[in-house]
Amino acid sequence: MTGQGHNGKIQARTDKSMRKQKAQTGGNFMKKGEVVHTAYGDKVISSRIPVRKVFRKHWLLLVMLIPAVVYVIIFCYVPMSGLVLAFEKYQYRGGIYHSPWVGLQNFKAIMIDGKLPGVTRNTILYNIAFIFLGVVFEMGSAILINELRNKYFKKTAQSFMFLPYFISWVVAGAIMYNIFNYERGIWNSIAVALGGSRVDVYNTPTVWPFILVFLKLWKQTGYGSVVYLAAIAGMDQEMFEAADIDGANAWQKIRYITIPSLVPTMMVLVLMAIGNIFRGDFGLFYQTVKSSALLQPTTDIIDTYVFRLLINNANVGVSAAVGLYQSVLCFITITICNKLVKVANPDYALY
Amino acid sequence: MKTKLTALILTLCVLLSSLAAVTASASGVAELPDDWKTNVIKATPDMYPDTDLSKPYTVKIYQVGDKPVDWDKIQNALNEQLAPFNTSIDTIFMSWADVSTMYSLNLAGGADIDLIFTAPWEYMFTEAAKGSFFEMDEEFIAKYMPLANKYQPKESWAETKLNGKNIAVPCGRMAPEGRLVGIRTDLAEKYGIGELKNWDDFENFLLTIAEKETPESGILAFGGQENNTAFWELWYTNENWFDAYYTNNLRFSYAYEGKIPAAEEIKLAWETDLFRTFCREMKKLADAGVWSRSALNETVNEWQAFGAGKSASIEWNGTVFTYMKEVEKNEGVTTAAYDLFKEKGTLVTAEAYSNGDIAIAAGCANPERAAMVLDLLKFDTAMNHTVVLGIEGDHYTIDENRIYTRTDNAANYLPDGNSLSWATRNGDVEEAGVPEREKVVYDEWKRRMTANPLTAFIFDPTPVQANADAVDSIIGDYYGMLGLGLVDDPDATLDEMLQKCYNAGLQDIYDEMYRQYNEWVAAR
Amino acid sequence: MTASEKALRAGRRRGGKIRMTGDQVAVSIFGYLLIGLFALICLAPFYLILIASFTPENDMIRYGYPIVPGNISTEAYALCVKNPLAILRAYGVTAGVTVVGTFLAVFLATMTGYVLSRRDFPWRNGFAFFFFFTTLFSGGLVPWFMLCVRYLGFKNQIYALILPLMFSVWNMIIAKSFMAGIPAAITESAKLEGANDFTIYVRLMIPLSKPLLATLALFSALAYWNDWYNCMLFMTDDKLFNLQYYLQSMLGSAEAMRLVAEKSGMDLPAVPLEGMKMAMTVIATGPIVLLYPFLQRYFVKGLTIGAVKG
Repeated sequence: MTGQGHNGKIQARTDKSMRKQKAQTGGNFMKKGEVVHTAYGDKVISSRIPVRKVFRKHWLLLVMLIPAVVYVIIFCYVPMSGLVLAFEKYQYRGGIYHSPWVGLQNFKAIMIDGKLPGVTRNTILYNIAFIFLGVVFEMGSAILINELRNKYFKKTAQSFMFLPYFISWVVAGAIMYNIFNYERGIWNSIAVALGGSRVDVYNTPTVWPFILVFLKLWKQTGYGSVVYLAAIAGMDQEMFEAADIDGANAWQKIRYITIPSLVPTMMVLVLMAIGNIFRGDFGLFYQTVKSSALLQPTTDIIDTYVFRLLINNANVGVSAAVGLYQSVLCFITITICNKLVKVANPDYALY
Repeated sequence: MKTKLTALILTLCVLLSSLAAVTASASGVAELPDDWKTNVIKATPDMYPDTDLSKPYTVKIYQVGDKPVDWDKIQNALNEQLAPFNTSIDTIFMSWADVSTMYSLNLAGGADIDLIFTAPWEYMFTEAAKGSFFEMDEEFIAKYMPLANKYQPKESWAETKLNGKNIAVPCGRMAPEGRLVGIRTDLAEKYGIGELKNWDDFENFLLTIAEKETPESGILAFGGQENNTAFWELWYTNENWFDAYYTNNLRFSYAYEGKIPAAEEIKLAWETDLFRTFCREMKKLADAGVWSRSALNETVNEWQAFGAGKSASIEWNGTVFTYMKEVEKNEGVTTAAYDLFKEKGTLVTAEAYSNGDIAIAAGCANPERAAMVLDLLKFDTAMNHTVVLGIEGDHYTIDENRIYTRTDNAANYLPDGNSLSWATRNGDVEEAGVPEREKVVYDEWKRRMTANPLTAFIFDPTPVQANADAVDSIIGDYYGMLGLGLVDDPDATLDEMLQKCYNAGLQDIYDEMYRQYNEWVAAR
Repeated sequence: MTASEKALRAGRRRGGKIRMTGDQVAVSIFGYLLIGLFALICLAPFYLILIASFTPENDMIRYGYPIVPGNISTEAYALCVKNPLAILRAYGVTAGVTVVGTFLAVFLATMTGYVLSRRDFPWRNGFAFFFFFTTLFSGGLVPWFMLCVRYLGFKNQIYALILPLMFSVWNMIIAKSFMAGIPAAITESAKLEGANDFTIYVRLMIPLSKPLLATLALFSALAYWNDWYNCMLFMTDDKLFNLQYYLQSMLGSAEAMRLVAEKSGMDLPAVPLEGMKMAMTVIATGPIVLLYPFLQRYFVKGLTIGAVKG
């Protein structure tokens, strides 16, 4: 949980002071309790400092943490004990903690029709596409907007880009139907008027991954680019002016200054997204696809699959089991990813 | 001496009169007339001797659906009528949009609930299996619900029993529910089609419209969407099929031949040859363009489409008339409704007693009081009419034959328009001014109405719950496509679906169902 | 600073026209095209929604969503604002909850984020994991609902709309990441003058983090404004409905009227259901769409530079 990597090895970092430190100590391991001076503050490489010392030195910081800690304990950790429902058959009389124990039976219920591996695969593949393309689009649009000069264009474009966030998936699904339905959809009407042929989107499974990714980007980009815009606004202008003097052109400035400076923000957002990589956006997949066995192999995710399974029988135990399944998989994934990132650059890791 | 004697006589008098009073009240219910449909039943607190009415109590009722505009007036009127019983009610509505989340959440999450609306289509049996409802035994009903004990039709109690225990109280009436087909007669006349007497006539109409009218004006022959339950019900009814168990997509049925069937005659509806033929037929209609190729995702439903003039036919129950009136008003066209089975004389199913019920929540603090309120709302004539019809003079007027007429203000509290009334209605009132064409149909249905003997058989899927959920979900995936004929090869797709069902344990469901069924038959 | 540097700086400050080099023009054109195209794609559906909200119901059912407005009908809006007092009250509830909630949410997220961004705080990673863990595992809706209703008394209380969204780990991590990027030279000089951690947070970090505050305020305000879920779970008194849920309940009762009219064979009320869904989106979105342009002024570069040099 500290800045030290595996086996005490710390890979070389671009931070000038780190290199200086390394030169000074001859590249030896950082000792526990040692303080490293960086431009961003003194960093302590240890968690073995005695508790009393921390309390005495940082008591105010701890006090400042109290509201959030209390909130999280009450609203997150206390209900978390309800995970035990995944192993029980919920009865009103028993409540959460005393209902009859059924072991892994709830998990068997979601594995019975053999769809679980397929929907898990779909969930993770779609999420990888969303994360990767999301970064490209959000960071890209933030950088491009930053390069534009016309204030009015910038303001209106940004506001327009934000509008899809307000459209619920129900309404978005209805609009999509109106554009793509076979007989009188807007797309097909225009295609026929221009002499082309109609597309039967709702009966063609192979197009759907592209459609769903497009829809997600359409809704998400405006909202997601805000963080990158804020990060760009917080960047040190000195670097740009130095680059100007060195004669760098616009593309070079973007490539060598802007993007690297955005990498920390990007890593944080990507890691947080990875922490949810086995959970899908239910509204998107349900409202646009509805229920069609034809489209399901390519569009069904864990959340929609479980929703249809439990639609008539609100089985608390089974839905808790699914939640646990998703949580465990997410936990394993993020632990691995966070460790990998920590080895590369401890500052980018989430914890 | 004299004072002692006086005292003795006085005491004796008091004792005797109180004895008379006790015997009078205990026989109070027994003195009520037997026919609640024509007599006015008025309940009094002494009909509930076992219920402690000394402290005031508010019974919380949870309804499904949205709150009618004038509900507060109704609730105030009811509270006035309940005042002698030292009780009042408070109602909370779970809107249709929220009910799928909030229904079981409220029951599980410890919301304060006394009475709640339920139905087989509204989580009744699944919640009962979780123990969310208070179980009433015969003694409880006799003691705390004397009016229901006397008046509720005896055969209705079996419909709300799970594993031998009563978990809800059904409503007091069984009504015929037939299927009708409505068409645009202006279009029919245009292509020389007359009265529709059976399915083939109807199919001919659909194909003609699809071929000739749709390319011209864009009016679809039928606004099929999501799945094609409408047409499946027509086929099903045509062969006199009844249901043994029907939840969501799990439908086990049998062909009714006037007697209780043997276990093996009950089959999954989708496994029958009838359904296979149906799928092939639907493909034929889909290929002819009777409905849109994107029908699976269509957001406008088939009756809305008819009412807006987008389609040329509609199929449902009596609601067909509402939409016929709408399109006649909006587009100025003529329509007609046909009962495709009148000639063949097929049976008309009855909307079961249990189609609307009220259950007492397991967490109810005072089940006796809740039971009493339920009893009063069902069978005390004044209170029952308040719930079902509204405020007399404000929302309706009624004559001595219990035929009521809606007033102009009725839109604010539509008769039989909320879930509480669906669960407490008794069929003792009838509406005046029903249009002739509707009356003819309803009377015909009443003539052919047959109760399904298997409504009293309640299949408890708990031992095979996981299989049931899985099979249900599989069928749900395929049913829409098959019903709308939007597949390349219906036989292959149907086989695929059935194969998946058997892989998910359909046979186990069959075994369990037959086992329970044979037990039930033996116990009768 | 060399002369050329000075000139460059002066030119910028004066806002004088700096001649754009060829590559700058290329980037600009590229940018205008792409961003412009994407912005139009984002606007188009909203345009359709706007038109559809003014279209009569029967036209929508028969012909789908029109691209050019045909018949105009304000039925849908009339139905939504049928009860002007109620809708104003709903606006008031939403606005109040949003303002209070956003303030609390930003305060909590930045304060906690600041503590966790302090590199000299040895337990920061432990606490970060403590918070992050809650985004991984959850007991589900039923236990949370039971806690809120049975033990915290959330039914029909205004704080039931504020508390669930008050602390978001996501916001806190963004704050932490942003604040970690602020150079330590600033805080060190303050420390030397004897300021304690809280004062540093309030007097230094907050003013330096305007883009961050704008971002978090935007996210929190949007979360509160759009929230109907907590209202559905906890509110049964319709005087406490917030805007989104109130509009949904209007749609719900319109659908219910239709349902009942069907069953009882009455004339169907002229209820524009499809149109209402569109009108609802427009009404609910209306005011908040102006928040983003308002906050954009805080996304201005170079706020830190003066502080460090100064």
